[in-house]
Amino acid sequence: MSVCKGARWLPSALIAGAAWFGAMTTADAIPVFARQTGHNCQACHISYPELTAYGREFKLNGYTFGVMQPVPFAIATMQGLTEVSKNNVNLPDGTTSQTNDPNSRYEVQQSSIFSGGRLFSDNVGAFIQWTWSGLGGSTHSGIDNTELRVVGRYTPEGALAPDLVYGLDINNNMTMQDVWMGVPAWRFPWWGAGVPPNGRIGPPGPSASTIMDGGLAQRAIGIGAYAWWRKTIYAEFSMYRSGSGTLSFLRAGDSPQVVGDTLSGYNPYWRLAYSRDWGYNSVEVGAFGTHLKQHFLDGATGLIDGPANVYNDVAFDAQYQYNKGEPWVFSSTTSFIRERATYAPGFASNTNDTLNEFFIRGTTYYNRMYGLSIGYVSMTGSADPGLYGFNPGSTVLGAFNGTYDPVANPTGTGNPASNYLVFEANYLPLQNLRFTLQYFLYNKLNGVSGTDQFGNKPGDNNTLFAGIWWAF
Amino acid sequence: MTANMTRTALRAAIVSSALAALLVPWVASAQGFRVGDEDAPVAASLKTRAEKGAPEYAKHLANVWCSACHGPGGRGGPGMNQIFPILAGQSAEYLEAQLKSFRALTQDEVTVNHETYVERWLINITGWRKVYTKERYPDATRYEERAWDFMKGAARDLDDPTIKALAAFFSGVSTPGGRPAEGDLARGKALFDQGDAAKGLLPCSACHGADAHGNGPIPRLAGQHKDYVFDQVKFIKSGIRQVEQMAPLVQGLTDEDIEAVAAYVQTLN
Repeated sequence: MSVCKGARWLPSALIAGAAWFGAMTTADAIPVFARQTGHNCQACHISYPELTAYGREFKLNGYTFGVMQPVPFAIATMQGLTEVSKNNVNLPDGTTSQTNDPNSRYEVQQSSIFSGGRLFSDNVGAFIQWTWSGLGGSTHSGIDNTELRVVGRYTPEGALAPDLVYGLDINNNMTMQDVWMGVPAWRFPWWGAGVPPNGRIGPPGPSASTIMDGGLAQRAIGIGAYAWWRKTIYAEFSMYRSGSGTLSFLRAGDSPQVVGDTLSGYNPYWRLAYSRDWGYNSVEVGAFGTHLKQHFLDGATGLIDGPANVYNDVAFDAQYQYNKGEPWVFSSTTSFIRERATYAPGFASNTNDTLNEFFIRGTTYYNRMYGLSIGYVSMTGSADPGLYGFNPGSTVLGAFNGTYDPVANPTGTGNPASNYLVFEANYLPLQNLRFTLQYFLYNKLNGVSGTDQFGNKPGDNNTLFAGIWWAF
Repeated sequence: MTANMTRTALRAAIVSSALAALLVPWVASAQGFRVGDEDAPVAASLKTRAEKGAPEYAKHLANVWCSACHGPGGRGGPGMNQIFPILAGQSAEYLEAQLKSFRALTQDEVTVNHETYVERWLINITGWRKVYTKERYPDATRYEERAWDFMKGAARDLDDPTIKALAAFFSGVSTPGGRPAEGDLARGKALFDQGDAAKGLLPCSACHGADAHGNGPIPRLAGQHKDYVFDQVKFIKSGIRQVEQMAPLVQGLTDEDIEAVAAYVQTLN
């Protein structure tokens, strides 16, 4: 963007900014919901975005607690230095391929504008996020996790609290509507270097991921209903469809409808969870799943109604939190997703594949200020050279924008097995300011756990990240 | 062509009405809302209150919002989490005073302490942790982190009649009663009933009543969570929570004493 073009926006941006700062009425420097409720982050978050029991109530009640804000906006910016262990790979022909990037880089990971909260009454609320992302040197701006809720409550005659909180929900990222942290949309790590190839510098990482795990984020739109009974049983059923037509505003700014994006009709997503609190403890066990049919371009007709991939995902999750506030807080989450896929002819080497994604994470905070987290992710599944990067037993081949030719190297195993650890240390001098030090440690990458015959190893991907997350 | 146009028009209508639905209430609620007008948030909640009357509105708030932490009717939250006190059966006068103290943590933020945009902007930018002191908020009595985390916000937008009605409501709910507690109950009972003459400690029952049911501004302790009572006595002792009459009386209590008394009162009906 030229300076002149930018300058045109400057006056209106300044006016909007002044109006925004001027309209803030309390000293809560933190996003929309904190201003709406007057609470501190800690009321709803173990550490954002992980929700406490009260945070779950707030979300399931449609973000309606508190008083509607006249100018309900907040901003978060996340930036940091990413350093990857090695930024080149050894190729089978004996040469070394250098990626275009240096192996360390300071980036604005993303900046987001948040809006939403209570609308009109105790019955309508929203969570709206618009994100500008600068990862990998390419900038992008578009809608991020967004949902609208309409809620109702049933209080039996003579009771003093609702037995049932229920609602309708529209969202643009499968599982973002959930309140526990084992679902793909809210899994640790919540920010940082990220798992390649999501724009991260350096060689790419695991080739495989389940379709629930971000594959439909800001692409498919879910419409569903949920019920929360006596703070114990949570049940939800939603239908996901492609974000086209009337609902396309929920994918605004994001990639246009492309081949492979189009869900066939309405696809079910379900969720069941049991939650129990005692003392300062809170535990949840649950299951969720989806059955998705995804169409491809029909070369003959030019319509996106060609052959389809069918995905059947079933997952289990569990969470434990010990939340007394100060001095120590503990939380842990685990989930296991099993995906069975049936592919359209030519899409993959196999007709049917299975992919398993296991995740576990532990977090502790001292006085809400110093935090440590450890996460572990493990992928296993059917080997499918057609699908997973054509790697002939190599860690990182298939890395280079399709320049690697699978036909010339038909020996690829396509093993999707990967596992890695994520360590994170956090320091929050202010409740809305977070300093993070994060390290990704790869034990196994795309089927390789040692050193492959070309000298590449999973550790080449190990990544150190130091960043700042500031919300106001 | 016509079908396309109809579809486009329909989409435009849906999207624009969705946008209108989102934007109109914000604009509407902003009307008559001036920065620095300390009544503004209260006025917003009054709209709902006026429709229902304070008692009805209070009951509604207690049902929808307070119950999330304090449980149905304030009889204990999810899993009887001891961070959140039991409100059921508590003295109305005491509850009213506490809600007003929580509200006092916010009421003068804009008008008194931060006159300028720059000041307000700085506070919003930095988050300004732990600024709640007697100098800034002379009408408040509670400066503990949890009051700041939860109740400051919950009380921020309540007007006096609603506070009174909330206090009356919770006061009128039957208590969950005493519950077993771990600790030196005999020591707790002795301290509560007789004090400790050797250490110069007055009995708690002198003010809180022989049955620990409280009286007027003095809170009921019977059946209150042990951890909550323990923490509050510690806060009062250290001055984080300011109770003029009580602070000098608890200075001689050790942590073991406080724990024993706190355990004892949880067992009382």
